[in-house]
Amino acid sequence: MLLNVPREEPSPPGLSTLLGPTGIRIGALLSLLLAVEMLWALGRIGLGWANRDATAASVSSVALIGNGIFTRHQFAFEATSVLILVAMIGAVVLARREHF
Amino acid sequence: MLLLTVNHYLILSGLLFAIGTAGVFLRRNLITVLLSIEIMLNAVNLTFVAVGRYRGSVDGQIITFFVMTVAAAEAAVGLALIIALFRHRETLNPDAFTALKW
Repeated sequence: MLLNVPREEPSPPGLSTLLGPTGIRIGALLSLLLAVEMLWALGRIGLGWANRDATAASVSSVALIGNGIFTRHQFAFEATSVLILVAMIGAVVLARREHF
Repeated sequence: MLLLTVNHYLILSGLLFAIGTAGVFLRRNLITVLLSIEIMLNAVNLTFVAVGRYRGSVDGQIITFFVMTVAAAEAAVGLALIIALFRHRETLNPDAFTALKW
């Protein structure tokens, strides 16, 4: 596989038999339920299979995106820079070795 | 000729999100769980872009930009946490980290 994981480690004993080995059964059931529920919800809202006019769908220019980022979403942009700084410092602090 | 409408994108996005949750539920490896969370974030990005294009605005792409930056920060901190956890317990199995479980 991509991650070169030969096999996954078995879970410690003590899980109930309802959950199956490593709780796989209920996990698969839950994710299948989520997929079915989302498809059902998409069928309900009915955004439509018809295409809208091409002029409304073709507004995607770098100038418009930059204009939106640097005017209406200015504060979010600046706050993101602080978030990245905090994440960088946090990653360095968490991943360093304790004793050299 | 098959035209791609917004529902195609939304169905693909829903399936991607379900695949991501299946990965979080089923895989017993912390790095794979982190990758599945990234898949879920990208499914949400696809929804934002598709609906923004459907409505004819660029706000979907702008918020996708912010989601991508937050995902980058999350991946960095998550990988650092996984490194720290692996040094502590010498395993990547999430069932081994139950110290905060009641």
